[in-house]
Amino acid sequence: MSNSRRNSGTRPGAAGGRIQQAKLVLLGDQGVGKSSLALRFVRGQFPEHSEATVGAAFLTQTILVQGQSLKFDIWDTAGQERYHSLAPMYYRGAQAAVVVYDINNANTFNRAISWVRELRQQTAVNTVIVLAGNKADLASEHRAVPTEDARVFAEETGLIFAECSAKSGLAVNEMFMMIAHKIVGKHASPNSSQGVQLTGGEEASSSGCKC
Amino acid sequence: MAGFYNMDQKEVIRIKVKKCDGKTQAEYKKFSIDPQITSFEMLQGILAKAFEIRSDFTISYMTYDSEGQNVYQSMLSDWDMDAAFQCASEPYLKLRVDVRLFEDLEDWDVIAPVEIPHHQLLGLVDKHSILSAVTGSITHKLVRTVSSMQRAMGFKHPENGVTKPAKLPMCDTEFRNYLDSSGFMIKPNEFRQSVYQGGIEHSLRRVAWRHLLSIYPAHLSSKDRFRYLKCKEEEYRKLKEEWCEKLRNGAVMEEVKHVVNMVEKDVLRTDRSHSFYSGSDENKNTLSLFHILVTFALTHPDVSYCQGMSDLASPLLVTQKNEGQAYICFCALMRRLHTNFTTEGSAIMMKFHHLSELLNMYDPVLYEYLLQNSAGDMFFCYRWFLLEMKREFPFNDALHVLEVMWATLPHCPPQHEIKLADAGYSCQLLSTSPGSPTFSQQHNMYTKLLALRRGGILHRGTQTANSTASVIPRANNNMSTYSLSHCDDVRTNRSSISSFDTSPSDREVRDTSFPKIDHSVTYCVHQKLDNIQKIDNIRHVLKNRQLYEHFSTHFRIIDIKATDTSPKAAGLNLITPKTLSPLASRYLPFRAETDKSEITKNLSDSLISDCQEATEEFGSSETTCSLFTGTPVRDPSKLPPPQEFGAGNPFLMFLSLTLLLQHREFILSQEMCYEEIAMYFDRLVRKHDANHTLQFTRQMYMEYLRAQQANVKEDEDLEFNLNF
Repeated sequence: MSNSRRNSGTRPGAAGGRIQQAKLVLLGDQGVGKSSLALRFVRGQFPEHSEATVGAAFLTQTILVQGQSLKFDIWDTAGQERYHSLAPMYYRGAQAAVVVYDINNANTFNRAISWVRELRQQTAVNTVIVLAGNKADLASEHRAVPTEDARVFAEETGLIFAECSAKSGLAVNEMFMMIAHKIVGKHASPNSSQGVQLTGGEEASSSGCKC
Repeated sequence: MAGFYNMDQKEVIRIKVKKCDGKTQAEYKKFSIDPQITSFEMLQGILAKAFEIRSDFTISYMTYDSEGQNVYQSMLSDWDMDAAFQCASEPYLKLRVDVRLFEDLEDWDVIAPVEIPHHQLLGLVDKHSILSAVTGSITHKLVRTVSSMQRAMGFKHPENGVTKPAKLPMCDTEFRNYLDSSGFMIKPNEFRQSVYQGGIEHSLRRVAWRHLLSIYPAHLSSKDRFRYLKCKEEEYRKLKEEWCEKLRNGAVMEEVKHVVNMVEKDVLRTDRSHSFYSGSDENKNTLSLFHILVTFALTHPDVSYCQGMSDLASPLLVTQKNEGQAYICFCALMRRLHTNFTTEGSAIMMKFHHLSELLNMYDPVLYEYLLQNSAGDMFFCYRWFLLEMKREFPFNDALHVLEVMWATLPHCPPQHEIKLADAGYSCQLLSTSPGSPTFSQQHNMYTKLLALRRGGILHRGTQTANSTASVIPRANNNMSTYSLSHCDDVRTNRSSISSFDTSPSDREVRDTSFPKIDHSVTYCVHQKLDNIQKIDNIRHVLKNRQLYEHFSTHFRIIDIKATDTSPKAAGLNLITPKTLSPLASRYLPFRAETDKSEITKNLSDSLISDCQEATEEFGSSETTCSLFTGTPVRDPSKLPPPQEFGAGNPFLMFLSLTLLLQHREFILSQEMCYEEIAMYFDRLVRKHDANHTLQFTRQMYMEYLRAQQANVKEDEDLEFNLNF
């Protein structure tokens, strides 16, 4: 699906400033909470029984970061493996990809790892990739993926890492804010991106560890 | 529409609203609304206007929990609003509005307060002063344009604000008229015609849907049907017990566990806001849905489980209220819909293509606009096609839309009985290791199929062998496969998948009719174009006179009665069940047994008069056309024939067209891009007005059938000439 018209474009904002746009894609196994994370971020809501996404959903959210408006165009994809082959249409040209897994289900973490590998191969090097362990609210009883494992993987692969909960809202906005900072920062000085990611990862995981 | 179903006919609901934004003091307002004409969207609009809210907000209503305590429950849909109206306590229904504050709202796509479909608002302006305030925000000019547009289109609601169905829903007494004294269904086509016009009363759906979905073989008395059903339920129970038992013992292979997990994740979030599936995750109905889907996936490895199936099965279970019976209905439904879930996606691709063709014919302006905005592929309609509109209407209304749509499809009873599992299935296939060496081949095949369906990639390696085949024979094969897919016996004969030991070559040919989607991005795009190109080719070929004869043996045999004595057709009678009646009668809800002239008569008598009534009531179609194009050139006879159009479901194409036309003005006026259109229709999930949509769809559908009927007649004349 072509949306070249909107990718990373800027247009006049309401207050006369420039609004930067960024395409963000949510990937991950079925039922890990991709749509819920998007809804939490965009509408501040958490529907208890969010339906399976058929095809893909699109949402937008504009935030203010470093005095600059950034509009996220969010593509929320269907998680079932059968739809995997459609994903390139959504992550193509994305500035950011949030790869979601359920920290209470180890299989979803494996799937996340393969998503990260695919993204690394198929997308530009400066694509911001986030590894998001969702459903942290259930972790005290059901955790299946140790924070440390995910953090190590994230650090090795140069990802932002966060454990979050769409249900409680924990670390969700922070995660998106961090992406926004990276994107806006990258725009300002394109050469300074690589080092910041790891720092970002630590910040994110520390905010995620409060649970 | 709120209160249309199962509601006390409260004339007015008084509402007291508390608005909180977490910063300023709460504000209160009181007003009253008419529950018969207020949708959830309108309520959002009213609240937005009343409190001058310019950002997103959530609505909740006060109700009582099980212990009688006051609690606020969130209101997210028409469904919730109906529930709130039902339990509205005297003297007021108490609502609470929570506003979210943002620093920069100007650029945020706040759709809630302005997104109310204009046709809904406009229908209300004259009579309901409270709403006129809401529409104040819409400029006068826009109102005038949209209003005249919608009047011409027939989209404007009639004066009372509620579109009534063409006839009353079928009740039990009426239903009995279609049966004889022993309960034989003697007037299946009249039955379908009636459902098509007015739907079915909810209490009768349980029985009537089984007929509508063709779960019974023809010519059964009511006693026989009862026995058949019991027998099938028992068969289902065994199928289910077998895998449950193996799963409990842990004696199943990984692929089976994977299917179980996928289904579990989805049933836990399917229609849970409906009272039928509410309560704990272990509620018995959700569990039943789980059993149905896992049983189907394991016994049909060529289809397996795919997201979306839970949405299709859920209404069947709600209506049947019995797991076994719902499973039988689901198998009947999937006979027709399994092609939607195959990974090569040919059926879905064809629907995308047909819808764009249809839109181009009915509204070239909108079509051109979508093309220019990278939406000409209609991909944003994916959910409409996959779930056949189930999510687009409030749940109870969706039941109505589904039954009306099913009534337009050919009555196609299974020859002997409906199959609950693929022919080669046995529960031993689920085990971790095969027993005997002879069995291991089948076991391998089964495991591979499940794995392939899971990954969505079908034997990439074998593709080259077939890719050299020319487009025409492949297309030909594909066409005949789904043209005939309504009939169980034909499908079984033609599909190698149903028996696992046969060579996969037959399936490969079918699967490669349209290339598969590859990981590579460019390939994806090219392929999309390719598919469309190929469909184009097929259509072109079909129209090619020189090849007419060649194709007549494959297509027209379906159109023309089996009694056709032409030598060309006679050779292929073997693959065409004799019960197939002429094209039109298979797709029109009227008599199939009658001769051709009578069919035409029937058509003109009943359905076309219905169409004319609708035209009179809602404005002429010519006006509609000229409004869009300036040149009234819509000729539905140029559309593909019913058994081909929309991959066998032409009514769905017209339903989709109606939804597009209903919102065309908004899409155009807002200059929406692809993403915005997708988002707009996402927001409209469960919010479309079923009766109004159906009314307009019926009108266009009838026009189409009438034109196609004329085609058939022409073809018959041509056939006649060819024979001499």
